[in-house]
Amino acid sequence: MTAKLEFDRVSKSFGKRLVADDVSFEVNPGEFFVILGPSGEGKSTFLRMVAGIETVDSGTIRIDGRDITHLPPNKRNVSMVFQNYALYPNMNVYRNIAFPLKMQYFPPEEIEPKVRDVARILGITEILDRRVSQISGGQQQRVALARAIVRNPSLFLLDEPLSNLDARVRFTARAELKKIQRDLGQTFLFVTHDQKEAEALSDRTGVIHQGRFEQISRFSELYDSPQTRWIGDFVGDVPMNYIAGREDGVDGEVGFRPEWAEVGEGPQSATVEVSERVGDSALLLCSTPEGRKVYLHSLRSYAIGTEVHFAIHRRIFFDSNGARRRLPDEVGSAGLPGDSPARADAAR
Amino acid sequence: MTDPAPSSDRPSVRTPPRAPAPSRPVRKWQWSQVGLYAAVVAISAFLLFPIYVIFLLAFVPQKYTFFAARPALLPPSLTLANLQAGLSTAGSPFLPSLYLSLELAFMVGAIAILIGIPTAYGLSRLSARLAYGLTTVMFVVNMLPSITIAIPISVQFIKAGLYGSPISIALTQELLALPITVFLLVGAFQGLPKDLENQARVDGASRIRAIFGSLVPLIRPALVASFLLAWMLSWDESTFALILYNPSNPPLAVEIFLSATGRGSVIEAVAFSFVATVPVIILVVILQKYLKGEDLAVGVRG
Amino acid sequence: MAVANRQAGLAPAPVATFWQRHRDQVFPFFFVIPALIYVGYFAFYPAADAVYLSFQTPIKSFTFFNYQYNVQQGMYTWIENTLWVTAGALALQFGLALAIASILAKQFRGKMVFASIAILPIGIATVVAGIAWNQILPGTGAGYGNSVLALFGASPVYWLNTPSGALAAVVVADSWKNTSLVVIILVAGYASIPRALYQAAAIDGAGPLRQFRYVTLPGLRSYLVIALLIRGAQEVNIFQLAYEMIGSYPQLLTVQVYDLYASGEGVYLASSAAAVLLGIISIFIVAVLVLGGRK
Repeated sequence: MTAKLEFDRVSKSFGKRLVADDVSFEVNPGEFFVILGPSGEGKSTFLRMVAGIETVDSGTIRIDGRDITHLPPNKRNVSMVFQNYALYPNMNVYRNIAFPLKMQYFPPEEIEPKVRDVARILGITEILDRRVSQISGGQQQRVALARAIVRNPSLFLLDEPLSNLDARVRFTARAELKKIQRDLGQTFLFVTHDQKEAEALSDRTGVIHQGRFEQISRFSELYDSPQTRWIGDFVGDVPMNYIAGREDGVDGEVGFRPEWAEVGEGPQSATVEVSERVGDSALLLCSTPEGRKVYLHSLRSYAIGTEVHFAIHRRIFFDSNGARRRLPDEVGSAGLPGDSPARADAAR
Repeated sequence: MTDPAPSSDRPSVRTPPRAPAPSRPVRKWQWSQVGLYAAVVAISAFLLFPIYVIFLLAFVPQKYTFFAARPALLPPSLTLANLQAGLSTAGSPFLPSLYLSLELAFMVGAIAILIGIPTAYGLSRLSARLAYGLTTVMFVVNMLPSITIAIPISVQFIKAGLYGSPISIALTQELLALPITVFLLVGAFQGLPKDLENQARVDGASRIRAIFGSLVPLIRPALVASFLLAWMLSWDESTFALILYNPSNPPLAVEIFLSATGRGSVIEAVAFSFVATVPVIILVVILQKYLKGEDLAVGVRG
Repeated sequence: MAVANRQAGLAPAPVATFWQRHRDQVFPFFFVIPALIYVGYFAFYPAADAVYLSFQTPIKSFTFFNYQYNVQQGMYTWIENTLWVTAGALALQFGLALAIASILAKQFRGKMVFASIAILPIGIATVVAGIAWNQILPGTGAGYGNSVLALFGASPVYWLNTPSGALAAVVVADSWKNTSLVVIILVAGYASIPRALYQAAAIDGAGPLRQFRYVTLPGLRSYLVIALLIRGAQEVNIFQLAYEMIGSYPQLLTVQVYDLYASGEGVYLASSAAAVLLGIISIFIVAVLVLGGRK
């Protein structure tokens, strides 16, 4: 079974801290949905509310239309992988994987083939009889995954399961995870603070900020078409550049990614503060006359203190609340025609 | 410092002069070390002396111990007569007392674990302030004078017709064992991985199965330590037992107490004491490895 | 798809009940209730009962008679004796335990043996310890204590012949048995003090004594408070050992309670003495908690 998950106006606070603020969203069946956000913002709490190990203050959570908001965790038929895997230390690998089936009172003869099957899929058949303290981090992660898969749940919940791995293992584990999800075709809800993971794994990503989703879309759209200033700031190797501007009689900010501007000639100017070679081009950190910091790409590097000129080909305008103004010709995909210099000039 | 004497068939190699070796203190013992060992010996002597005395009382003929004006510090001779006399007096209550004390000790240990596990689990999951408050309550219990409580309790038990029964003594002695058991077990629960119970619940376990299937197996050392401590507390306990016991069948500690304070012979008391002490010394040595500093520090900081 | 939005004007989202929202905070409480009931019934209720009974006599239902009678019989002396024993025993136990714990904080050969010896007395039943100490410090001129003195050429001491001598004997015997518990607590305390603090203090020029005062003692503070609470209360309650060694002379509060009860003079007088005992302990607990800061 592959399930659809719905949040319907869910709120939750810890004391005074509002972790979920009237949140509604849907995860489609078979989708790999990533919840992305800075550390400590409460992303895990969303996951835990779905699992049932965190309570909900108001609102409804539904799986396939079934209201599970206040059901105890063992009645929800979801699987969860925690950040530190939570393997049962006193059991060997086989019994760890078998545990969920045992909880559902499957007889041992039925348990064994299921466990072996899953172990084969994840390549851990040789370690089935080892104790969990004797296997590597990468193997532990796979055991945790096997345990989650073996009971064929309707929904998989994963709480930063890759962050405890070293960088190299993490890279391959990431690819394997994506493949497993595709093969199983199940719905995955995955929490992380790592943008690269979100980019590599997600079908859609929801970015959490202050208890709400700032934006839910394909990851590429988060980068190319942020709907709020904060998203532009948060997503990307370097934050989006912002300079003061005015559009349609409204004061606000003009945002642009470094690659949307060309250094050389142009109406804008800034002073180089840092110049860093990247491959055969350079990344410049410059300071505008108003004191804003902007990142620019250029083909050559410049000495510190040089004044450079640049023209912005593509930009997004944010009003003073940080929200994006809906202009008729900006609908949300990459590849818009650049603005003419004259128009950029009007932003003063 | 001196060059190796050049031998005729080897080219003489000049090694560079070495710096003089640093001077070491000639005597290996320094004053602080002497002081340390002196203190250790003195304190050990003080701590071991009474145990030695018990040994003497049990195995040295009485004329050299009880009846001597200057009891000998080294045993002039050894005998088993004392033990024989003490343990086999006609009508001696020794064996029944022993059985009763064993029964009580195991009951107190078992009840400590049975009540201790859920209580400690609950405390480990409650908010810190609440847990702290309740733990304080339990410790205050430890501080109430046994005498004060024993009297009204005995009145209650008399009314209930349970006076003198082993279970009434065990339940009362439990007051001494429970707080320390809860203290140790709370520390043990808090030391477990945080999401283990949650994982078990999501995997389909009800709360009870999650606790007993995934948490309790991991705190086995603390369970053993608690059981042993509770056992020893009951074995040693004589105040509650004294107020609540059935005169026809006193527990061992009470029997010793009564003999030592005049009702029976002191030699009887000594013989019983010896039997009562040996198992406990063994248990203390076993317990020693459980009661290391770090395990207790967890509960204190909590 | 939709970003979260404020749906002002629509009906509010279904709100969870109190139980649903706080389920995980309230549920553990149920696990604690049996222990609380047990403690309430077996400890607090009898304690309250004792206080209640202390104000009763067979004829009247609320009177100070029991207290007045006991004072006439010498209750102030009983209290005084009890306080002397408590103070003396605590001083001896804590001094000795600090010494032992600081020794155990160092490394030396035979440390494990010494550690076992240090907690061995816990295993000796109090009544058994009483027997041993009765033979070490008896009222007659005999006894092993005098044998040891004879080794040094001193003349025999009649330990129990004076009230202060008798109380001192009880203090020593009791401290022998109970120092071990304090040692265990203080060893845990020592383990919690980071080595680096001592090194920093040494670099700052503090010798062993000043290190003890400025690093060890503050670090041990909460442990000392706990040990003081536990042992202090137990010390005021001292009974078996005292009864075994000195009987009713000089009289301690606890022994008096037992005597009154056993002699059949009635539950009420005994309860009155018992209530006074309870009062002393309560004052002690509050004092230590206040002086020691948090628990």
